[in-house]
Amino acid sequence: MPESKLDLLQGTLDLMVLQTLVSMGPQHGYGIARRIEQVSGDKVLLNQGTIYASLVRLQQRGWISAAWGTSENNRKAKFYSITKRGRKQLSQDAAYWQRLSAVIGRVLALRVESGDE
Amino acid sequence: MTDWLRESVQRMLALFRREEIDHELDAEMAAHLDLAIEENLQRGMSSEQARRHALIRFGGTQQAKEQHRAARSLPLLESLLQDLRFAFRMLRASSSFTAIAVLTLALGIGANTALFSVINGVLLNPLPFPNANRIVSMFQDKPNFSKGSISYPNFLDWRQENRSFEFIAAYRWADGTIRGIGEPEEVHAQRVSATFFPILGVQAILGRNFSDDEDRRGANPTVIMSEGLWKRKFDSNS
Repeated sequence: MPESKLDLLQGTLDLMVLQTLVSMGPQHGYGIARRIEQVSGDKVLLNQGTIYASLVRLQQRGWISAAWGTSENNRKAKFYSITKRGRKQLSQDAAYWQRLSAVIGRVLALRVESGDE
Repeated sequence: MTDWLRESVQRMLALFRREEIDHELDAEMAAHLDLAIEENLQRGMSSEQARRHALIRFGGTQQAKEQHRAARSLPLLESLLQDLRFAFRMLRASSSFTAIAVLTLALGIGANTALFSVINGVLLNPLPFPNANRIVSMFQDKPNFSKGSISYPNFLDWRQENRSFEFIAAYRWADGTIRGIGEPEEVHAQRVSATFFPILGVQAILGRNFSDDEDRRGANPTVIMSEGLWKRKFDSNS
């Protein structure tokens, strides 16, 4: 049986979007969604449509900004770019996730040791 | 904290720009699907396949719109406004029902208010005087002017020929400015006849009431003042 795809935890999509914008520069919603799919090796369960809820939330918080522009193949699309405050937020959130996942990793390792009896 | 405030304000504003934002989201999602279809075509899918695949990956445009609304706005308030608009439309559609309902409410509320005013005045909050049920105000109607004041000669005549009341007293506004301790002060005052306080059953804490001798033209001016004014303006000097 193939492994089922990962559900996104609350807040993780926002973090992925911010990181994607930092690494790719200004990008439209489709581009961001594709990039996340590619980077995750299609292991993340992402309906591309959910990206827009995340984008509007980040925009309202002032972490990204948006403007209509033209895509590489000459289509009108809304392009998002990360703001200065967004970068600050990203570095905070990224540090938080790294700490959290390190802790989770340690806790899980602990359980395997004592669960063998 | 500022992020939170900023977001709240933005959400409130989004409430009033609903259609505009939805419209823009529609355009954005259409562009998204176009880009996806184009990429799928380049990968060699048929145009139908490309479209289907794009829609599947998108995962439901309606769902995406709902999520977008929930993220950007205040869903509870938004649906409340929607309900209100709906209720208003329904009321307008069935106007005779609305008229009857409004009339019923108006009569009910009106009757209750009227009844309560009477009960409040008579039973719950009677005038703070002894025998308040025997004190009445009298006015004189004039052409185009109901409840007008009574001229002094008329008052004298009424008082003389009175057989209905124990006493009749007259009063008249006489506001003015007084000096004393501190800044000059505007005070509310009345000119009253000697029987005014006896009718109300009010007695002076200090000094005496107006005498009959003071109740005539040319008498020495005499004043009864409230305790508060006496303390504040005259330092309780007797």
